[in-house]
Amino acid sequence: MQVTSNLTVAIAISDVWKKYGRTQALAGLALEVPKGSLVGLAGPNGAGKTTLVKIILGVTSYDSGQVTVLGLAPRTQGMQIRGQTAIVHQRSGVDAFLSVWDNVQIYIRLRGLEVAASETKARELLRDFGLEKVLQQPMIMLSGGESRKVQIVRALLLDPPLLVMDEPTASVDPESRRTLWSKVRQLTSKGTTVLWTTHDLHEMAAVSDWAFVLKGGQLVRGDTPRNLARLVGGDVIEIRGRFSEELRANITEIPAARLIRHSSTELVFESNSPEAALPRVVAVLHDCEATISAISIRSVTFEEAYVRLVGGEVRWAFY
Amino acid sequence: MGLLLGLVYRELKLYTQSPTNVALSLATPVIYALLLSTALGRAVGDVIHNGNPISYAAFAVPGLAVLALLTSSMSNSQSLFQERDSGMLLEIMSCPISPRTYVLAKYFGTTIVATCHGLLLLGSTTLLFGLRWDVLRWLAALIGLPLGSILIVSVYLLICGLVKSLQTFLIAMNLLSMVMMFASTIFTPQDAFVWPLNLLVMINPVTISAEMMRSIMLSPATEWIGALAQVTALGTLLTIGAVRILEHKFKQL
Repeated sequence: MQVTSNLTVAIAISDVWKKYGRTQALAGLALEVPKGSLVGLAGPNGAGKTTLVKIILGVTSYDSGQVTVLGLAPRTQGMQIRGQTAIVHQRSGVDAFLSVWDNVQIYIRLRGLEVAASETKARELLRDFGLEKVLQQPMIMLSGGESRKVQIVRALLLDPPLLVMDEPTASVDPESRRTLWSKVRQLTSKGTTVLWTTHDLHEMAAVSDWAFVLKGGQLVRGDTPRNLARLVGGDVIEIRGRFSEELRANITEIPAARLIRHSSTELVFESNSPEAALPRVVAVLHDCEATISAISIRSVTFEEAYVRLVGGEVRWAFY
Repeated sequence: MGLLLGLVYRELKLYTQSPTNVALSLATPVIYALLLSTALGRAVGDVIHNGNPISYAAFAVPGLAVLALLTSSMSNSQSLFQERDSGMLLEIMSCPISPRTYVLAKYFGTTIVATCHGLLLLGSTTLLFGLRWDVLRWLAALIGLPLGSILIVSVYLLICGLVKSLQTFLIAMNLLSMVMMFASTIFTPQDAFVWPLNLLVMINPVTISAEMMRSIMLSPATEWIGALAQVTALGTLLTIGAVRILEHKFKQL
């Protein structure tokens, strides 16, 4: 799907197929990432997000299709791409028995950075992310969130044309997330392209310029989070009150309204014509002698659009 | 070159991060040195080397230095699997580092550590058993030990490249290390082995390394060159094989 017709493209993926044994990880994936943008990749587990990240870096090949990253081909120019890319991997890429500071020092050398300047920058970043007190602690003693922050700090040591982050904010506290996005925005303002994956759709909608929804190794839809919600369309009817289990079992078949979430105090429907659906819903509730305390109608959010796009497999996984 | 040094720096950091681990990795050859050179040494008495009788300690010490290479090479090479399984390999390969550079760094790191082990063992046992070797022999040992290490680590890295999991590697290593250790001339002269075991002893890289070290420490300098050349040639061959196999393996993560 082309969303960047008039923009310069940092990553271009065209009809890419990749199979691991019998598992089809990517099945004709096509997308373009605009240069200097912050692009989120969402999708259920196994959608192909991590495979895509590895292909972009040139550490995994693909069976067919075309990939261009920063104007380079990952198959033959992977080293050049990696030289211009900072990465936060999903799995912990740290030496567990070495200290935080040792890990940072090693990373500086593995990236071929200027040691003194990078160490100064690292100390600032470690302080910004609240890690200054654990500098000498072995990584194995750190919490999952702290370990993730060390990976983020290392990636932010670079001023790269491309920053790729695979679930960077998993287990990370809200304050550090704010610090991360503030730093990332500084990078994008200087022209860095950022590609990140997450299951936190609220966060993705809040920070991303573009959102790509993947499923089964294909792009389902790609646009701004707001446009995605608009494209999917429809509204959400939320009704609060007291609802018996029997009622909830019988209320699933109302024309023009689909029950998507329910509890003893809340019923949530989605509908393409709420003005027609609402009276019917209220009538059914009235017949069942349910108590209604509040009704609201609002537009579909990005999260809800995502759920519709990927189907029922991850229904309301973010609640 | 800078990135290769960065990787070697990491290897050495990993090795030196725990003094306990350093001490423990030295323990095996030192214990063998003490046990064999006292108990076995008394039982065996003198050994004939190049037609001359020498004490068992003088015979065993160069071989024990190779044993030190063997133990440190094994522990370091299994880190390949640990790094792959922990995600560290993917992290390293995501830097502008080629699989070849990564494998070469493993060689360098292991060789440095193994050579230090070999030298420490050589030094301590020399003092312990009151042996005397001139400076030239020590200098030659400084060349021989890294060459022996490269040869031995190649064997382990080749196996790393050929097996898929750490479990398989460990099983293979337990078997192979015992064979490499005892079907070699570390503890026993080659003519003490019966046919067909002596064939295995002859082609064993540990035997070839031990005989090179023995030649350096006990034989005239004219014999060193041949022994060093033999280890260099075999080491180069196995290194090319191991690097190629691992390079191919790490291209797909």
